[in-house]
Amino acid sequence: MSLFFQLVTSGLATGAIYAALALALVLIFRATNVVNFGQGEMATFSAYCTWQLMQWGVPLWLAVLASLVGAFAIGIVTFRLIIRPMMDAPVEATVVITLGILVLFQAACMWIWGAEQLSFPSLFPGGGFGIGEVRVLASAVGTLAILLAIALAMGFIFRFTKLGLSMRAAAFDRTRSVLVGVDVERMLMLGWGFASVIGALAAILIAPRLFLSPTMMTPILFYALAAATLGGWDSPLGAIVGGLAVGVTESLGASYLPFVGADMRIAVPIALTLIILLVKPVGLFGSYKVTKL
Amino acid sequence: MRLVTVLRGCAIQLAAAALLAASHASAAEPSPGITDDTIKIGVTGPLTGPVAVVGGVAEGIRARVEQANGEGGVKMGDGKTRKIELVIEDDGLDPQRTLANVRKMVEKDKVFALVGTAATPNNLAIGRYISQKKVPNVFMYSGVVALNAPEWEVGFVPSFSTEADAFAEYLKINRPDARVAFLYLNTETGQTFMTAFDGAIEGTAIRVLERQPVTSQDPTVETQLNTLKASGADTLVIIAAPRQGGEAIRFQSESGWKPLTLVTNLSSAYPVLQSVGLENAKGIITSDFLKPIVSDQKSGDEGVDRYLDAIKSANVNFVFANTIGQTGYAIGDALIQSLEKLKQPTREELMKVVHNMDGWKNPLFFDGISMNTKEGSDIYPVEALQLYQFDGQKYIPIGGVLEFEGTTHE
Repeated sequence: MSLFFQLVTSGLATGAIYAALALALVLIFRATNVVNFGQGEMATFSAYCTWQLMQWGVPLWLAVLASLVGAFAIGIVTFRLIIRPMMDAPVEATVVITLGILVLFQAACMWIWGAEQLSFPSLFPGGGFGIGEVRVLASAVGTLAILLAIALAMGFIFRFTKLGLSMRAAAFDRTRSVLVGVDVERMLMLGWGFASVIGALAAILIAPRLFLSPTMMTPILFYALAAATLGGWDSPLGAIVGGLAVGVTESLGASYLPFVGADMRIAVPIALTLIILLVKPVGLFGSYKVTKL
Repeated sequence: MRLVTVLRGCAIQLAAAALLAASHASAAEPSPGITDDTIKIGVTGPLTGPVAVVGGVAEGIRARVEQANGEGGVKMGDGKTRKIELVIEDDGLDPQRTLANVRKMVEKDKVFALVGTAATPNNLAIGRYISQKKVPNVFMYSGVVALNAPEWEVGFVPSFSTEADAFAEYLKINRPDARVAFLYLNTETGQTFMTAFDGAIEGTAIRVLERQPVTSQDPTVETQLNTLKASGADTLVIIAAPRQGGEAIRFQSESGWKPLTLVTNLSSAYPVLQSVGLENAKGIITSDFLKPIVSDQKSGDEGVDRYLDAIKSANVNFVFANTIGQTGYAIGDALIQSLEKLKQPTREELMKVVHNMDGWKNPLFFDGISMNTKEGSDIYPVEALQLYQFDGQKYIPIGGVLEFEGTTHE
């Protein structure tokens, strides 16, 4: 039985990793109506910047803060240089462009810092504590706490502030948003900036567990997409619940379903996502769009 | 009259030229890719993608080759001194891209031979093609014995089955009743290793309690590790790529589980241990045929010092302690030694040379380990390993060199 609880616990810890990237994906989708496949790699780049600053002797917290500010700038520059010129292109083109962002940032990391994995310091104390025979990692608890705080803040901003509402409007319908006085371009730009910051924070939280490397985020992307779909693309809280659900089902499925095994473990959360989408097509926490005739 | 003389003169000259060409051909028509002052060699490997670290092989080769070129070139067995021109292509470890690269290098760039081709599936993918085209594929970076073009191939690193034999040997002596848990890469690599290990422990009291597969794309391996821990094993064998292997090394130290941990050299390199935290890696055991290089300062060991010089001036993208890069350099050195022995500038001759290595030394090999092959029966140059234990700072050799010459098996 203690193996079961240990598997649930490590499923939650892994789920927190998926949730972190899913949160950034949901934010950019909510703010700009685009799924940015390159979000993870942009985040990795920011994590490398943190690492580099620390190599130069900057203390951890300061390095993190500086990188988050830098990430905001990276998001905005990416939007201005790459996304804005393509704003009127069909959605397929945008998808390809975000894949290009993935390749671009990964290549940049590899070029500047090399392919070797590096150790990345944790914001939280190392090790963990035991509940009975089950071991809980301090970093997993800390990561979850930070993610929850971000999700709640995001929910609040999108629902109750003028800025959040304007961003949603700009993402939802560009033409009509202009008519009601929303500066659409500025809102989209801010959306890219904020998503980049959340992504960078996610990478900084994840890197100590996964080791910093240019491809750190690539395998996470699939799980994060599943998590965001499961939770509902317009719900930050859903992204977290989705991430955790993916982590736990994956962990239990791989261990207890003999025909799945560790090779096929990604199939379990994908199957779960499919089933939930069949029952509730917008995801667990997604909201239906109402069209009035 | 005069015209006739001129014509006759021409005819004689032509005949003489034809005769000369004919006699030259019977000596040895040079193969493609080699002229009097250069020889073209192709390298393909993953310079990008999730396992770009393996690209260190190509970088190491480049460092050794640039060093040789900088010293004027390689004085080859036919008396001519040639510079080596490397053509390096990225395949992202995708076998189809490897094949495409090799086609391009053979047909367009006209390389003389391929060297250091990385990974097993990739070497299998090009086997048929290189046999058809009769292009040597020498010193492959692949530790699996199932090959498909043995006439045109020669290996380099010990087979995973040799490493499995070495680990089994260690356990038989030091923990004869070991209860083993495997974290294994679910490819040819892991399968080869485990089959060999199972064979080697037959008839002993060593038992395997649990095996968990891993892929190089797994974001985390906590699940597998928890299952292994719950099996009650007292010995953990890790056969995994650096990221997953690193996580496993950290797990055995953090989780309160303290098994005897044996790590294959896929993920036991010093930089991997650095990313894990050196203190977490204390006590792990691995095997290698290379000397441990613990500092980038001059050591007094001529081979190592030349290696350090070479990677510095070639400005390689790996750190000095990276064993994949070191292996690349050692492969480059083996290539140069083969060229020095090449009496005729043909591909057939190169295969003859590399299939008859008799105790060749290598500047980066551990003392007592050399390269030996035998035409028709043994295409595995390195079949000896030294075990090392990590003391928290560096690897310490334990026991003597384990010799498996001529015994590489499936």
